[in-house]
Formats: sequence, C-alpha cells, structure tokens
Amino acid sequence: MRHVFWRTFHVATSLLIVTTLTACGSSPSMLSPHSPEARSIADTWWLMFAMACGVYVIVMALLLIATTRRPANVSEERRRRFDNRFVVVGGLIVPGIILGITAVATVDVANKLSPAAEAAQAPVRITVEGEQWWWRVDYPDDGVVTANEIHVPINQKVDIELISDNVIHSLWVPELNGKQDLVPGQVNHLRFTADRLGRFEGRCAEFCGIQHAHMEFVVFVDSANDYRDWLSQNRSAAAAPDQPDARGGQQLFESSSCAGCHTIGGTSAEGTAGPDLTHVGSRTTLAAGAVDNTPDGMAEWLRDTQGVKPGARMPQVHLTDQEIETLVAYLEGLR
Amino acid sequence: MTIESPLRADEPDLPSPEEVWEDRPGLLGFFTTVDHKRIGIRYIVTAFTFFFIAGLMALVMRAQLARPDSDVVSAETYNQLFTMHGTIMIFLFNTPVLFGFGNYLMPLLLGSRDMAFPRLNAFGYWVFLGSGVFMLSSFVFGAAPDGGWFAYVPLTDKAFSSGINLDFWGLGVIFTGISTTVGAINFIASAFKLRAPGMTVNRIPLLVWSFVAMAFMVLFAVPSLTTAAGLLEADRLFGTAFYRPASGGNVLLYQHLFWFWGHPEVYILFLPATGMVTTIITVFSRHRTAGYVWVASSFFGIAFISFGVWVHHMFATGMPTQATGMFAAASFVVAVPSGIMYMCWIGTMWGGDVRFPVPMLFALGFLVIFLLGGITGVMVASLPFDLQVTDSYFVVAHFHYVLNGAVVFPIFGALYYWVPKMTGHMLSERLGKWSFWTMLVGFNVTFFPMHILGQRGMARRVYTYDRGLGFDFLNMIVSLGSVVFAIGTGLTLLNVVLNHKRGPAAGRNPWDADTLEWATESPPPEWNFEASPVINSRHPLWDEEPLPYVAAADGESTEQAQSPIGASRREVAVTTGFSAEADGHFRVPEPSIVPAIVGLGLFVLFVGVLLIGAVIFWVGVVVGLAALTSWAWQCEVDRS
Repeated sequence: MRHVFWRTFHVATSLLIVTTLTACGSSPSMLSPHSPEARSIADTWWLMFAMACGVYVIVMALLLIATTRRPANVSEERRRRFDNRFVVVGGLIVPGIILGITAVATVDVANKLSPAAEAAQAPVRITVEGEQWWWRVDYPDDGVVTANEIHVPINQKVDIELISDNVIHSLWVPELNGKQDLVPGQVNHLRFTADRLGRFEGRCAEFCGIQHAHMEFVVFVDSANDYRDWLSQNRSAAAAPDQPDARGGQQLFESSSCAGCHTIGGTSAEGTAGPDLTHVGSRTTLAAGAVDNTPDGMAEWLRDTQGVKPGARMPQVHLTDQEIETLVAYLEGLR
Repeated sequence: MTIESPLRADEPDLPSPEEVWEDRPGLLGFFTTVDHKRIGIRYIVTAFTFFFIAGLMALVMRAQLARPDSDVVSAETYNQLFTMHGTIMIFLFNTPVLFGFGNYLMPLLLGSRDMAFPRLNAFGYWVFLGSGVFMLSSFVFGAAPDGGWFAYVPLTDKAFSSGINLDFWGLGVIFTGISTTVGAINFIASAFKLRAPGMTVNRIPLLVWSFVAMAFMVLFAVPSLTTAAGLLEADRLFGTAFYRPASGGNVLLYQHLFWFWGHPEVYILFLPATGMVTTIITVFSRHRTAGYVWVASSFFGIAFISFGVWVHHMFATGMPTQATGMFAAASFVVAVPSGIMYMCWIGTMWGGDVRFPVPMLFALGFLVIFLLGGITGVMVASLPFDLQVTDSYFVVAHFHYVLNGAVVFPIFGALYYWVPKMTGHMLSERLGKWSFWTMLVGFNVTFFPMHILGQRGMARRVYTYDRGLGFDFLNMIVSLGSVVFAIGTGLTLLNVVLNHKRGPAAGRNPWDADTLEWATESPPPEWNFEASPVINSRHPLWDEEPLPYVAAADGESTEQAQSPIGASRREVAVTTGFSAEADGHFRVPEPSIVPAIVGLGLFVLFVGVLLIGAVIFWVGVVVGLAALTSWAWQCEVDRS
C-alpha cells in the first residue's frame, strides 16, 4: 500500500518544481556566468546538482520501499548481516565515491580560482575600499577615483584589491566570480576575466550595518576602446559649468557643508569622507544603488536623504527648492 | 502491561515514597523543586514560548520581504528582528528544548529516580530562564541587538555599535552558556553512573548515547563561544583591543572562536534530534534498531569531526587555498556518519512493519527534509561553490533545512511521542496529522525557493531588495509559505493546549515501545519507578515481560524486590560505568530554593555589568555567593 504520506510528498514536490521554474527574471545569477572563473563554479554546481538528484531519487526510492514492504521472515543472523552490508555499501562506499568526486572537482576549481596560483601581475589593477555603505573605487595606475561603479575591459585579467578600514564587507558579482570579504587589517584579492560586454550587478554580501541592503554597485565590462575613453574622461578634472544655474550650484557646493565630505576635482571641494563626485553625472545610480541617478533622483536624494536611505552617513542638509535645483544642475552636469 | 508494585508492600514504620519524594505544595514547591520531570517540562514550555516569539518575528520579516522596496518595518527594526530570530531560535529554543527532553527522559530511560545532580539541574533551568528574560528585555528598552546572531566584529564593536544593544547579546550569550554547561555535566554523569543494573554500554538506548555525545560537544565547544563573547565585551566595556586591528588585534580571531563553537553547535542540536528519530523509527517499525553500533559510533564520529570544520564558514575571508582545502575535506567527511545513520534508519524500517502515527510522520518528514539539507551541506562545503552562495539565500535555505527541518520536525515528533508520557493524555491524531501536513507543505514552500533566490544573487540579511532583479515572485511565494508553516506549528500548540488534560488516557505504554520510560505510569510518580529494573537487552520492554527488579540488599534480581533503593529515603541506585553492575547508592538532595537564588544573583550580576552599575553588580555577587555558600553548606550537612 502506498501511504498517503508518499502521494502527498510527490504532488508537493512536483508543484514546487513547476512554480520555481516558471519564475524567471533577469537576475544577477551565478548560473549565467560571464567569466571563466564564474563558469568553472557554475560547472561545479551542475556536477553536484546532477549527483544530488541521483542521490535524492535513489534514497527516496529506498525509503519508499522500506516503509511499504512487508517484512520478510528471515533469521536474525541473516538480517544483521544484511543490515551491515546495507550500511557499508549505502553509508560508506557509495557516499565515499560521491564525496570523492566532489572533492576532486572542488580542489581542481579552487586551485584555478586561487589568487596565489597566479603570480603574474594582472594588467588591470583596481583598489576597492568598503565604506558604510558605499564603495570607493580607485585605479592607482591611472589616477582615477570613482564610487559604486567599476569599469573593466573585456577579456583582460582584472585584479581587485579589497580593503576596509571600518567593518567587514564582501564584494559579490555573481556573474563574474564568487565573493571575497573586505576585512579590516588585511588585503584580499578578487580576480576575474570578464568575457562579455555589459552591465553586471554587484553588492555587499556581508552584513555591515543598517544600510547593508543598499550597498550595491555596478560592473561595466567595456570594449578596449570604450575602457580607454572612460579612463581618460575620468582622469581629467571636472569641466567648469557654463549654465548660470549650474554655476550657482558650484558656488553653493563649495561654500556649504558638501565640500567637507566630497571631492570634486578642479574645485576647492576636497573632502574624502563621502564619494568622489568629480564625474558623478556620468554614473547610473546614487547612494550605492539606493536611487537612480536622474535629475529627479538626485533632487529626491538631496531633499530627503534620510528617507531614501535611512541611517546613511550623509546627514540631512536643509536646502530650499531653489538651492536643490541649482545643485542638481551642477552635479548632473559633471560628466 | 501491568507491573506488580513492590513499593507498596512495605513495612509500616518506614516513610512512604510519597512522603519522601513529593515536592512541597504550591509556589514554594515551584521554586524549590529538583524533580527532573518538572524541570524538564518547564524547560520545554519555556523554550516553546521563545519558539513562538521568534516565529512571529520571522513572520514580520517575511511580511517585509514579500514585496520589493516595502516598508512594513524600518531597516533598524528589521536588523533587530533577524538578529533576535536567530539568537532566540539557537540559544533560547533549540538548545534548551532539547535539554528539556533530555532532562525529562534521561533518568526514565536509564531506570533511575533522578539526574545525578538534581540541584544543578534546577540551577540550569533558572539560568536559562534568566538569560532569556535578560536578552528579550532588550526589546522593552528599544535596544534589541542588531549585529546579526553571529555578531561579527568590528561591526559589533563600540565604534560601530555604540548603544547597549550588543551588550544584551554578548552578556546574554555568556549567561546562557552557564546553563548549557551545567546541563551537559549532568547528562554525562547520569548516563555513566545512574543506569539500571544490566544496562551495559552495549545496551544504552541510542537516545541516551545521542545526549552523551552532545554533552561532550557542549563541554568542548561552549568555552570557545564564551571566550569569543567575553573578549568582545572586554573590547566594548573596558577598551581592550583583542579584535581591533589598529591596536594589534585581529578581526578574524573572533570568527575563529565563534565558529569553533558555532559549527559544533549545529551538531549539538542535530544529534539529540537524530536520537529522537532513531527512537521513533525503531518503535513504529516494531523492529530492533538496525546497526546499533553504527549509529552510536556515528554520534561520536560526528561529535569529533565537527570540531574540524569551522573554517568552512570563513571561506571568503581570504585564507590560502591550502588551508581552506583541508577544512573543505573535513566538511565532506562529516557527511559520512550522517549517511551511515540514514542507512540504519532505512534498514530498521526495511526489517520492520511500519506504522504511521503522528510521531512517525514527523520522523519521515525529517528524513525527506534532512536528506536535502544534508546534500546542500555537502555542496556548500565545496570551496568554489561556497564562494558564490555563502551569505546568500541559498545558505538560508540550507540551514533551515537542517536546523528547522532536521531539528524542529523531530522535536515536534518527540512532542507527540512523549507528551502522553508527561501528561497521561494522548494528543489528537487527527489534529496532529493536520499539523504535520500543513507544516511539511508550508516548510518546503517557504524554504525551497530560497535556494533559487540565493543562486540568483539575493544576499542574506537585507531588509529590502530592488524591483526587477527577478526576486519578487519567489519572495512572495516564500512569504505565503511561511504563513502556512506558522499555521501548522500553531495547530500543534492548539493540540497540546486542548488535550494535555482532556485527551484519552495514555496508560503506561500507548505506543508499544521498548524503552524504560514506558514501564512506569503516565505521568510517572515523583520517584519514577517502583524499583530499579534489571536490563538484559537493548529493547527491554519488548524482550522481557514483566521486567525483573533488583533488590537493594544484595543486588540480586527478583520479581518482587523487598526494600528497593529510594523507596523510603531520597536516594538513587548507582552502577558501574561500563558494565552497569550494582555499585551502591547515593543520596538525592532535598528540594531547595538555593539554585533559584544563585540564578537570581547571576541575573542581577549580569544586569550590573550591562548597565555598568557597580551597586547592582555587587548586589548580584553577594546574593549569588551567599546562596552558593548555603548550597555548599547544605551539601556538607546532607552527605555527612
């Protein structure tokens, strides 16, 4: 007799699988890898997934038989011998083989990913510093400093140096590689070679305080030319604004508390507590992904900083609508 | 099955067992009892109260996460909720509820009258209650811990968490560790010295073995947690710099100390749960446990290996691959004993005739869920894969399959199985089945989609998420599932409330079970057994009827003992550690208020540290020390 337990179990699992497979979207998924590193991890997953399905089906079948069969009338001694065989084969030998395969695959991929395995210096070096709650991005070889956006060239090995002087963060771009922590007091590295152009979502994966949820960033994989253009554009100081509105904004920025925390290259604003805003107008998001970088988004961020990102380290600066308008005109023009 | 009661045939001049063993009436009895059964039930009731509180917190979190960019609760509140959900479930529900079952069951399983140290037992409960009240009171002050249940530095150091919040956590965790430690000592001493004559190491019930293995793990693991939290509090309160890199401290030191306890802790919870499953499967297969030695060895194999896997929580911290590889390998190996146990459970059912009452349904639910949790456990031990899924919802799914599915399901099974023994009344099978099916469906709908969310890039511990990342639909499913799961657990609560006094009478052995707790009445009298039973097999009630009893004087086994140990004085029989031969007896202490007062002193002491209030601190110290002195004093008088 098949007990109702099993019938319900099968219905439930089928339902579960159907609902989850139909729920697709464009996610920053580790299963759509766009670098050899992420691909090798995804391959490890599919290998383990295949073995897991086999194990699950076989063990459930054994369980089904065990709970529904009539006990055979055999001698106690034969039963004990049977039990022992069952345990040794099912509990030692078969798991040993499966775990062995998993271990070999693991070591193989882990060695490939290991930063130590690559003594040669990567052509692109970037330093990413975790802040509460945003990312300071520095290209030491090119004199470029930006925030919450990382541009990398396609098909080139990138070495990201990860540091933090506050709490632990973790940098994660699922489509490009696994994550690495930014641990105060030590320097970690994350390396990958992106092989597809595009925009890839990344975020902080280690709980780092009240706004951990809004500590996102974007990786842009550019063609070699675009990357070079981006670097040279970002190396230069900010162009002086020509519109009167924007000029008013610059004056306000330099004379108010803004300049105490933010740097805008080519101006007197040289604060370092907050993100460098020299080319803020060219970025796609503000406040580490909390709001889109549009004139409206910027205005909302300035008007209601603590409402958009409660707990953010940027205090609520009290500005008139007029002042916000000029600041937005200035900042959005910094491209 | 009925047993002649040798206790009643007494000489008239000796006091009756009632006079010797019964607690004082009323409130005084409540605070002074040292009866392991009252204490055990108290543990279970208190722990389940915390379970439902933490469960409600989870529902609020799922309401917040049901839709993107939602603001059901603020970021601050959400962070407090997920921190306290984890903290309560681990420290105030899972661990103590298992200690409750252990306290209630172990003397009964061993054929004894109480635990080895009954006052220590009472003390353990009061400390647990005190630490629970201590931690939860943080909500009253609006200062609940918000640094995650793992409280990683530097986030939890004074510079980044200046409020009192984290002190509730750090001190509370140290506080509750005292309770766990004294409980573990009691389990070990009881299992080795208080077994019924004839219960050789080869005949100890597997449930007892699982508690012994767990207790040894507690003794080795908890000091590490106490150190981790102690150094954290020293950094916070006294400005030491154990974890401050700028002053020569090390951030990862905390993680090593924490996980050296943290990973074994998973198995500390898991082992007694497997012991319960083994018991239930054996009884409802009406067949001896297949591979007794394999299962017992697996308990200790897990207990040992689990101390060598902690670094797999730290794969992304930047350690060299040679180092992490070693811990990955150990993490694969720890799966082997679980596999062995799994085969033993299947083997037991294979040889038996399986019945499906509610406890067995929960055990089967455990098998179905735990297999998946175990498999994903092996997956996350794989270093490269872990770098993708660690700190993502995949891990949330994994450990809920293990800690909720593979620990809470057995605990619910255990409730249905042993509540009739505790109350004398059966729970409703019908309501129990409704509860089980609702929980099983709700559980999988809640936690299965989390695997997919994690692989799609949803990180843990986020109070909200953006629209358009492909998270919306699955999160809604998860939230709906959590409501179903909550209803399922609520049905069991209802079942216990309705039937613990009014359900059909249970009788001594309603399940036709094999172990000694079913040889006595339901609920058992304060003195547990009429006399010490003599054990001649692993499944005494199946193999011998009626059970033989031992006489006090010469250790000879007879059908009707003349004056059994403990019939007219508070004492329990002692047997030798290995072969369980009669080895005299020892006095069980009288009920006493002293353990509760020591607990109260500790509570006041910890409040003093929390508030940096010297007066409160010293009041606590004086009260605690005075009570301890009285405790030692009484011991000297009693035992002289």
